[in-house]
Amino acid sequence: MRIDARNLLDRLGRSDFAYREFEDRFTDLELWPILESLLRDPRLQALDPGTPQGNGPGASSPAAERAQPSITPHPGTLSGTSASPLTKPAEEPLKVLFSRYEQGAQPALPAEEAPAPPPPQDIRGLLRRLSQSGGDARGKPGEQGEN
Amino acid sequence: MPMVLCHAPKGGTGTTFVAAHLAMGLAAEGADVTVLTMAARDTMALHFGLSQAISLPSLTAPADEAVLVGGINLRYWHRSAEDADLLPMLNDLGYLTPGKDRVLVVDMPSGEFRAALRLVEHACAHLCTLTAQPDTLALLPQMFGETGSEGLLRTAFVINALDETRRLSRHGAAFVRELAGQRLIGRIRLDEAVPEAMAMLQPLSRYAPASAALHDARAISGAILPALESTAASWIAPTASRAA
Repeated sequence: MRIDARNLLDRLGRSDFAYREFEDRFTDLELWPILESLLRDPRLQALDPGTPQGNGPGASSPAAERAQPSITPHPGTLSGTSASPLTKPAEEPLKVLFSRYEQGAQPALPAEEAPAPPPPQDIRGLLRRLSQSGGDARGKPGEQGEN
Repeated sequence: MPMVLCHAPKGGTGTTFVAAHLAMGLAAEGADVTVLTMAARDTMALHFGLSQAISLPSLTAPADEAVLVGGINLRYWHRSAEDADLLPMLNDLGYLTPGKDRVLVVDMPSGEFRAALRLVEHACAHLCTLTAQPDTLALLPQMFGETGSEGLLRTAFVINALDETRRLSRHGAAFVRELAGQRLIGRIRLDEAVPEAMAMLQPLSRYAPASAALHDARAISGAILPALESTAASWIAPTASRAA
């Protein structure tokens, strides 16, 4: 640790500090192609995300539980066809995870009602469509600037 | 004496750092800790403030050859990690019996995944150190496939060298957090004090007692404690820090 940082901590009477919170809402995550690829890999389903005290498979984490109320699966995604809020997030955690990307990418409207052109501010949806159409968009998230 | 296996799907994630500080944390809780490093080229001694010139004794070396640091017994086993004699020997030495009074912390190189698979069946916990970088995350499916759901029951994850000022790092950590749920028992922030302490040949706790990484590593030691007395196939730390 640099001496100036150590001196500052000493003056503050702290052992460490966070000068800024960089926490992202999970629904704000970029559609990094590698994460999407991992989510599609069935081998990741082998991991039970935590079964404390034998509560059975699929017990969701506090972070996941906190994230759930605002999550709505997009119709036609892996999480199902209903546009209602998820009611069984613990049973299909990875699918729910994927649906959050979908939710972040497109509005939660029934497929037949979804307008062809998405809202112009929907950058993730644009990237996703580019990725699906030709793969040219892969790697684009990194070009949006750091932080 | 329970065994905690530290093994990662990829080298360079900081498994040795985590194993060393896990040992220090458990020793601080009053456990009699032995660290067994199985890497032919290991840097375990550096994390204890020792020079690389110091040769650690073999697991079977007599007690008068022991290298003790803060009461922690440092040993190596450089014969093949798949040696058929290893598990019987660990059992004979009492390393596979539950109870937190004596603990064996094994630092297994990432390449020795077959040996890790054999040991994890007998370990009370498998601590898997990840970074939030794509080259590490990309290996998770392969690791999960090799380990299988039974082996993963004992697995807990730690994100090491986390730089939350970087967007990709934050997103990678969030991915692991959602994937692992309560099996993610902590994160260790990127901290320049870690290599600086090694360069100074000092343990991190002496060189930078205010180190953020040191603080995080100690929290992980606390989270692993419930595993030591667990006899169940699956364990999880109910009070584990979820700072990641």
